[in-house]
Amino acid sequence: MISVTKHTEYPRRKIEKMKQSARVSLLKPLCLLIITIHGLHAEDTRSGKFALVGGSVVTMAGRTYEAGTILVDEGKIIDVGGSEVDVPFKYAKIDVKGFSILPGLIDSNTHLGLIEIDMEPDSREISKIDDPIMPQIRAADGINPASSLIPVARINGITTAMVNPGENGLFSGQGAIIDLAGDLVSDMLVETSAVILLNLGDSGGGGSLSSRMGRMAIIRETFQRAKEYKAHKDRFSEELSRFEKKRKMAAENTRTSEKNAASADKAGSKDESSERKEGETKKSDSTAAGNGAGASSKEDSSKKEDSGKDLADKEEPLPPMPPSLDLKLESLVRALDGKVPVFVRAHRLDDILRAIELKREYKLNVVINHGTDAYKVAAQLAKEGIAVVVGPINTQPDSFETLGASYANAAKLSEAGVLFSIQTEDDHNVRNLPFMAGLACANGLDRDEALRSITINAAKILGIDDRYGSIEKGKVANLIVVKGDVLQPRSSIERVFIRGKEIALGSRQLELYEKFRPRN
Amino acid sequence: MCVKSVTLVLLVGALIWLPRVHSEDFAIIGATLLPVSSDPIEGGTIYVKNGKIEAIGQNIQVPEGVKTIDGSGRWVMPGIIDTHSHMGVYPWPWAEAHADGNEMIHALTPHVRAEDAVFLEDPAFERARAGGVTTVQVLPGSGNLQGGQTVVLKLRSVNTLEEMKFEGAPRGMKMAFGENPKRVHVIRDQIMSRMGNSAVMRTGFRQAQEYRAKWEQYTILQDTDHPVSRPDYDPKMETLVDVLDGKIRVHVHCYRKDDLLAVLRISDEFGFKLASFQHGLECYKIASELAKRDIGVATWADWWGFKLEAFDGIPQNAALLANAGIRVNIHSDSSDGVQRLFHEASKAIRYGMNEDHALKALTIWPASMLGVEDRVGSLDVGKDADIAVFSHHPFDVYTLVQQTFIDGVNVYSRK
Repeated sequence: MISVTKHTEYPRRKIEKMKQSARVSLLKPLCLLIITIHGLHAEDTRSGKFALVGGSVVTMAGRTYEAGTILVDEGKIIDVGGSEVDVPFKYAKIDVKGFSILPGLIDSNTHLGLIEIDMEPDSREISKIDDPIMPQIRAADGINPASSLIPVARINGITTAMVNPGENGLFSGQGAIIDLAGDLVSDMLVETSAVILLNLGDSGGGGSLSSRMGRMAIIRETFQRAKEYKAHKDRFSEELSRFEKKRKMAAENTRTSEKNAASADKAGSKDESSERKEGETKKSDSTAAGNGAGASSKEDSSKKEDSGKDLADKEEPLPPMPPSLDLKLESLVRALDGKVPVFVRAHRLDDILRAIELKREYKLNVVINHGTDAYKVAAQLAKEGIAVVVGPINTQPDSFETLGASYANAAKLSEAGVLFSIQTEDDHNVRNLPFMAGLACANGLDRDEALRSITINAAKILGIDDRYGSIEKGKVANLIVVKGDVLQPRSSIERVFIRGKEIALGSRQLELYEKFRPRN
Repeated sequence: MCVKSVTLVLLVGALIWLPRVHSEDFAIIGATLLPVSSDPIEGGTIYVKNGKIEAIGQNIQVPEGVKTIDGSGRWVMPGIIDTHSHMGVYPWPWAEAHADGNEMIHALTPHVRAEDAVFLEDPAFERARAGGVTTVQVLPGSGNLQGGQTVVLKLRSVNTLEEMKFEGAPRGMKMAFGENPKRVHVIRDQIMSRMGNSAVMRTGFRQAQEYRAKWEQYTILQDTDHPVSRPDYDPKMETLVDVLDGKIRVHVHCYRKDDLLAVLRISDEFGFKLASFQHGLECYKIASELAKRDIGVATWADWWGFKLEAFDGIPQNAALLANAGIRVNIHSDSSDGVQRLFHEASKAIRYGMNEDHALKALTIWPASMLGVEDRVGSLDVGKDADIAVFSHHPFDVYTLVQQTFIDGVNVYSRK
């Protein structure tokens, strides 16, 4: 019921009263925050030759060197070891005593460089679902190297990321792997087409896409078409090589017969050769027609056959027809070869099992992306040798397909011997990757395994472990210098090196902080 | 017949008596206590009697027969308080049929109440208890300028909302400014710009002032020779009059500096006080102004950039505000985040907050924003025994909540 009170006062007078009684803050800006920005160092690393000396080197290759030394030259790790490693003349010596040095962290699923502001379409390059089959889309074509999100991630220790073009539709494109430094995408790319993304589960569209049955049917049809396309291509290259062989032989034959003919009869050969030329022109015309328009008439094709026959009779074989280029299927052929991992988005147990079926049916290198229920089939995944890109660790039972979400997912996969990495699936807060690994530890994951999941094991799953993921001779010099335990939010990243270059620890966020922080 | 009636009476009686779960007295012994109101106590004891904190300190004598819990190696802090939750009004799993948190039929819906839409079977409640959270404010969403009334809940494991409500907690009102209301109501032909946000908000309060004046006139004149006709009852205006009269605490969802300042202008014009800004990602830009007015700020540790008005969000926001003397809450606005608010606070520390402030940002500061600081928010004698027991320091990434108590009742134990 309405409260009847003595409110006769005019609001303005109330405001005056409020102003008078407003508590005058006596707090002076005594709590000035000091953050150290490492822009300049005594040690000059610009020559590209430097040594990190005295820190605890966590190589992620089986050894940790307390008081270790790492030598870097031309962006590569030249040597790593304990006190036995001498620092050659000309190498800038950087003392990192008291700190840990780890390989730069790798986030195996992000949207970095594609999203600036989620809700502003013009600053968002995530693929839409107009066509559910778009495996030809490449994240690499949309990355903005000047994104203000990239520095935020790298000053927190993440140096390499898989960039996912989106998980809409069924085949949503090809993920790129980038190092998080560089003015041009080409300077950042580690792999342009690192993974093929296939999405199972609740993220469907309309029509026949609206059920798992419909989606699986379309996926199978697409893979089947890719298989046939591949067979067609294989057949073509076989035929082509046969053709080349034959032509070579025919050319040799012609040369010998011509030589013979030339020496035998010079006058009669003229007419013959002009006749052959005519035939050649005819043949190339009809081939062009057949290639250009998919629906060439019966007449045309019969003509072509005839002319082909004529030519074959005249010992000139017809070049084989290449399959008309289909970029979608072309992209999937690499998946069928097992060359490129297929990241299959799957949360629910039955979707994970569908991914295993697809692996068997089409000999794919399947990696389970997210894998919310993966812990329920951990033994099977281990047996099948299927890796899981877990996470985010904080996946919740917030949708029907994630009702089985458990913080202990990573720990259980680890126990079963499944190869897995931990991902953020983030953009603005990729920086939280190590803390997500820490949360997995709180929920039973071994700490070393947690570190591997954001370094060497992430590199293995992405297929770049020959160059990334550990501190070893010959690998790319992506290195971070950490004060404290890298998995703890209260620790700090002191220095970051990407491809052997030191990164200034600045970001747009730190600029805002500097602009608005209180000053004495 | 008679026996049957007696049985029925007994049954009804039992039902009346059953609902309240009574707490058992107990003491946690040998733990590191973080009382928030004072320095940490090593090897401390906290003794709980009748659901209240009876004693706390290093040398506490616990009466014989009282159940004791070995707290060695454990860390004990007050139950965590979250001023921004949509648990129950946007329950899991997400479904259109479950989306009850935004009454987006009009930009002004001050009369609707979150408590009328709380779904108690939301699995998020149990997960929040497992995160040491004991008190939350459930708000309507931010689609409307005046979204409706909030409800403060204690996360008791009970069967009805009545038993969950924080008895005696002041009423709250959710308001929102900036992108959300103008985006939502453009399709309802009500607002399509920030100008519209301010204009419609002002119109609402101006109408409430007139409504109040009419009732005052009616009340004064009804027993005289010149009575006026009784004004029509309007539930929207009733609520806004209570806001104007300072009977409802106002919590405003707002991001950008100019939106924050616009809200301050309107609150000045109509003479109501703000309890808190919610999210307030650009509050760091006007910290001294907010400190002067003693307005609390509830925000995330590091969310930013998800929309244009969140693009200047920086993770140092909470630290800068706390250092300026502003009461801060590390809030969740998420049934995910609410489970790890201690972890979120540890990230605020990474970006410059001190540990004492970070603890307060989870406990006594949010308690004071909700007006329940006399009951909860610190481990002090006489306060409700709302307690979270951790395996490691709450700000250690490897920590887990072992037990949660509300009013001395164990509502969560890790298996």
